[in-house]
Amino acid sequence: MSPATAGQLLDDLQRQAWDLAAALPERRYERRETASQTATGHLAGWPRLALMGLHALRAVPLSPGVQHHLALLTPALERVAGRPVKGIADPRVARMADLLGAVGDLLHDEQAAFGPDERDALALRAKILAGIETAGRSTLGFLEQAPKSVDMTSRWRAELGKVIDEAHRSMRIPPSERQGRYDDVAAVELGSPTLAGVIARWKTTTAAALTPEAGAASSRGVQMAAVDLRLLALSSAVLVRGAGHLGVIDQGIGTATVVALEAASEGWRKAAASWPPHIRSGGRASEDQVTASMGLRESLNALLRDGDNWATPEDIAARLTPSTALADVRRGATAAERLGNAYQSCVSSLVYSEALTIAARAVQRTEAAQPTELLAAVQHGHWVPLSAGQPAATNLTTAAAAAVELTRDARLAVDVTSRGPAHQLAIGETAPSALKRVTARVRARVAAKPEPSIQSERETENLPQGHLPGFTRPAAEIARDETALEKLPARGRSPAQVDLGDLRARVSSLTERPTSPATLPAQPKVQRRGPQL
Amino acid sequence: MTTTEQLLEQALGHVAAATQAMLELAENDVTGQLIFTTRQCLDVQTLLEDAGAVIDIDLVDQGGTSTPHELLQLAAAALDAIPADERPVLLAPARAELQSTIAASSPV
Repeated sequence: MSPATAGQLLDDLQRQAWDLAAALPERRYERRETASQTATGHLAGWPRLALMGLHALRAVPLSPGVQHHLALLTPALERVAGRPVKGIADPRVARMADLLGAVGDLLHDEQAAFGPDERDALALRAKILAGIETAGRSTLGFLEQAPKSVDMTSRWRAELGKVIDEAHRSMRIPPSERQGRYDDVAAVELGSPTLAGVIARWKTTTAAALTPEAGAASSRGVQMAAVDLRLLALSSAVLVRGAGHLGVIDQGIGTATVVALEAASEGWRKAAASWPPHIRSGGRASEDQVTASMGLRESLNALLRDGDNWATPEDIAARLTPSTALADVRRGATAAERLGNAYQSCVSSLVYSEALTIAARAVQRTEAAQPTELLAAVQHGHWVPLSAGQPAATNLTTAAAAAVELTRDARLAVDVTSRGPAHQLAIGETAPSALKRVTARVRARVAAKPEPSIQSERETENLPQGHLPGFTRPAAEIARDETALEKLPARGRSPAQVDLGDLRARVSSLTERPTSPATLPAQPKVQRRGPQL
Repeated sequence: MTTTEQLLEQALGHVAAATQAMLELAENDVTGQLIFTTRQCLDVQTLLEDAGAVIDIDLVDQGGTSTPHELLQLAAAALDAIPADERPVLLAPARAELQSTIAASSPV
């Protein structure tokens, strides 16, 4: 069983809102008959609905600069929230308030979205606004037919009218494009036996192991985290490849995502290998981390393996629904990105506080003279503090930084699989940012001179038809009007593909590995088991 | 005569060498098996340390051209050489995990 996600809750919100709308009779005399009672129920539910709407909207991880779109909606909702109405709330309105409250709670811990994540945050906000707007229109429909006694001073109509207008104005993302990474946000139960639960538990314990007091982390635990991050990235690549093979996602998106995940996996392999046995700190890894890591390994083994090889996509699909697997992959990628940052800080802290020790024999000479203490330590087989300038220390920090960078790329690529069908323009992205991005990409493309096929594919990406690089006309339009990009006909490539184009180039330049075609796992072999002692 | 401590050191050294070798080889491992086995090796190292083993990096470097599987077998041989009545209580889980890892790392 998979956990309830923000996306599911918001889908339910929209269903409830449409049910409210459907309850509005088509004929005026029918509306009049039920208007008094229904409108009272709606109004009794609205203050809480507005309050929870505010809660959810404030939890959408947008930077304050982007939240200003709601500058007029917020006070309108606050006014509605501050006008309690006696009576029993309509159950659907009450349910909508519950759903918005839950969504707000789920989103509470999300970090502010920037770059491509901002589009997804705007998509999420549009879903919330759509629910509120539809509910508002339904209530107004009844209020218009209700006697004055229900709508005492007509202020309700005025207030709801403002809410509807502002909600509508702030949506900005068309309904077909309202999928994104935040749909997967879920309150996963740590003890749950699902892959999501196992990943959540592993994330929590590993994060704790990587963020002890400065310089107190166990090198074994840190290396274990790197190995686990490789394992997760590699397993995610298998799941995404399988989803592409089974047609659950676009195969092109799947292939690019697999490349990014494999690059991240390789980054973590190097990070794990940067911990040679002659460098260490702390004692053993924490028991919690070891247990959770073992759980992750066992879970991935059970779901994805067939003996010594990866299981076929069909076999994996029989064990784990592809859509659930993709949601788990996306949550895993988000967890990996955060853990990657924690890993990098942890390694930096260990290196720069000189909390690591190195076998004296393994110290590399960086100066002409060897201190006598070091010579004595070498003779006696002792361990000495690892200086931050030693190549082994530099290698640790460099490998960590590279792995983190690749993991972020992989997370961005994985997020694209949440966006469903191709989108048109990067609506929601600010125009100057879109222009800057496109310009930078064009310049990079010219400088890099990629393969002709990729070149032609990217030539018009995200640009309105007929406007190739140098596009003075749309630039001028956008400079005049921030929403011009939205008003342009939707004729460009999807932002999803655009981002992947960038990503693919970036990943290959970072890893210097050729982009291999997606290959399916080899045929399963018989699983061997070690002797039981 | 080799003492229990020295045999434990040897075993840990060989497992550490096998771990490093696996991490290097894993770059070209399309089956994904090596990363699962590497992770097991880390568990074996932890269990050996729990049993009192201390790493001797001279032994790690003696890995030479041996395969990870061979290194793990050398580690098992070192542990087997410890007289039964001198084996630390905590060695049993380490031996069990090591055997499981050897099985998982065996070439097809």
